[in-house]
Amino acid sequence: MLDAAVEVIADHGLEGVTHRAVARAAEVPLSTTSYFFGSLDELVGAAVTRIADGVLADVDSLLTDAAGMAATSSIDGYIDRFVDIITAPRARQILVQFEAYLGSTRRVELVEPVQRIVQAYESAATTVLGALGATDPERAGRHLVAVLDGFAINRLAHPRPDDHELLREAVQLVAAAHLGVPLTRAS
Amino acid sequence: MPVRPQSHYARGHARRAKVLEATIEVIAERGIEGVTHRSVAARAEVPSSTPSYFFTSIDELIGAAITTIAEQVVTAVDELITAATAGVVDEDEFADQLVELMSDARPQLVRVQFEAYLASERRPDLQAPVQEIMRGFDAATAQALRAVGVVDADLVARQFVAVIDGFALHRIAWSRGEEDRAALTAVLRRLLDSYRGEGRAPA
Repeated sequence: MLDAAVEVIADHGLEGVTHRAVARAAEVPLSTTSYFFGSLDELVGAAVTRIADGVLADVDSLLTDAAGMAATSSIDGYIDRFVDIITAPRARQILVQFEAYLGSTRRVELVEPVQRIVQAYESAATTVLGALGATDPERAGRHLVAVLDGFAINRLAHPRPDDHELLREAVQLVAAAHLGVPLTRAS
Repeated sequence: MPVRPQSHYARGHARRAKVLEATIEVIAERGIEGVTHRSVAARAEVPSSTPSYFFTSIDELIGAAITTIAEQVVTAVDELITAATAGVVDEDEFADQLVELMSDARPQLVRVQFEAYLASERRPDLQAPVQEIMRGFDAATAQALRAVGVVDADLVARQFVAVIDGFALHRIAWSRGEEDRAALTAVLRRLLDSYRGEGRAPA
């Protein structure tokens, strides 16, 4: 049912979540959703919490991969991989995530799960940048995730062929600043 | 001299502006899906037929509303460009002021803008106006960057806009107060330093 709610959010936005829409998407009787969730707000909150749990799991496996990469690649290569992994989720998941970010200003039940999502990404980025020797890994992690999300929301609305290249370059610049290394230019 | 009554055209124009303003407020409060002819008319305190007199569809109405938001930003950035060209704004202030214009000064409008970005995925008719305002932001930013000596400004502008948008999105999701702003300015300065006079590294 929560998966169905996530699909409904992707298709119709947070305000499109109704007992009827979720029941239809989950292929359960109309009464089922209201049996489990007292209110629609509760249902939306639970769906976003589920996304947060998924993000935490993704981030855990990301960090395991990252630990393996550290030994074998250059800083640039390592950061590239990190960016690839973190930008890999399907556009629909990112869409729902961002709907929740915006919705958290008018739905109090979303505040906590949304912060948990942001925190999960930030702590992953902090770990990676810390391992690379960032002087202030926490700040560096926050910057990195903000940059990634900025590119992601622009890309959702207006995808362009060189998005990834521009993102990669911006991330390299930001990372270089925090790692105190001179920027390596391709030229 | 007697005050002339507003012309028919001016009245229509004012009413249209009122409808657009109401649309922005409705989006801010209830999201894109909250926009209906009825909700907008109620907010604008006009007859419920008025929105459809000016706009044939809800998507056209939303598109026009976010376009007015973008136009205000582009006008403000133009003024910054004039100041930068005249040397009134130094390079350090430049990034600060750009952030102020594009996000800080208008938290609610940024949220409305992002609501439209996300909704364009499921409302194909919104795609064109959304992409057009995005190109408008990019173009204004590119021009501003050129004014402070950035080579290859078109591509760097997209990075600037993305970074500003990313911090704005995070401030909505989880504001960490003043710290956010300092962090953003630091990142933009860094980008600016890397590109000024050098251009981008070839891919």
